[in-house]
Amino acid sequence: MKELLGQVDLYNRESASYDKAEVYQELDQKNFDDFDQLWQPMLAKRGAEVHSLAEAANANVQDARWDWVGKAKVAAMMMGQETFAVECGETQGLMLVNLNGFGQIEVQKGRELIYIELLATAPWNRHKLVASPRYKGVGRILIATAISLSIDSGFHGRLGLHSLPQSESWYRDEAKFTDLGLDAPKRMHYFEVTVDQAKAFLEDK
Amino acid sequence: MDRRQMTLMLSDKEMTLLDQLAASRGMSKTALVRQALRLYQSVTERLENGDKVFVERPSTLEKTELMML
Repeated sequence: MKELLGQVDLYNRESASYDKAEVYQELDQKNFDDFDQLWQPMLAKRGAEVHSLAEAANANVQDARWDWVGKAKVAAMMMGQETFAVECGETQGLMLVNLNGFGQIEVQKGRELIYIELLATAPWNRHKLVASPRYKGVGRILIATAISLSIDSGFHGRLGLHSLPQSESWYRDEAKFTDLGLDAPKRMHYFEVTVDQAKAFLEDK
Repeated sequence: MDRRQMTLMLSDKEMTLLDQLAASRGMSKTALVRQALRLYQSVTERLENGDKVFVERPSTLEKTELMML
């Protein structure tokens, strides 16, 4: 069942001020409707105009075919999966995580971690996709939520994730996560977050 | 998240194992039991879908199939 985890401040680029937003665990029909009626038309329209992965990356629509509704319904039946939403009026961001991940880097090799399967901000918040993105920081809020879940699950903040190419520099240089390089089968860089990195991330406003 | 409480009766041997695993994984006993349930569901779900689960010994690459009856 959908549960309110708390309120957060979301930076509105249009008004240059902070709006109150809510973070929820588990998606409901409102999120499905927002995805189907608000996200998907924008993603599909732009996605139809690109013809390669590189063009999709440039247009910031590599997730155009992610089936959030189907995945959220499966996740609701699995103990090892959780979904999250950031709402500020409409759904501003979505995340699917897996609680059955294990660390790869030496300091946490074989240790339990939260693996972020999917994370996306609403199309109207994305550079390259719209001329004036509305909200900034949705991804950071969702990553912080995943770290909190990791702590609550007894994993001490440890995370793992694969990054789309356009987000690699943010995870590496801004968030200071550990880049383990290209994971060939997935054709994406794999990142891990250690206990210390998770703590630093939560402390960095 | 809604939580419901239950009393779990364990033998000395089971409790010792739970203590040891929780200590070695750096988790509370509650967190460890929750994680065990998640993993158990994940494995049984795969087996029920017809997948096979293997354990591989790195030194010999010997594979043992995990069977659940």
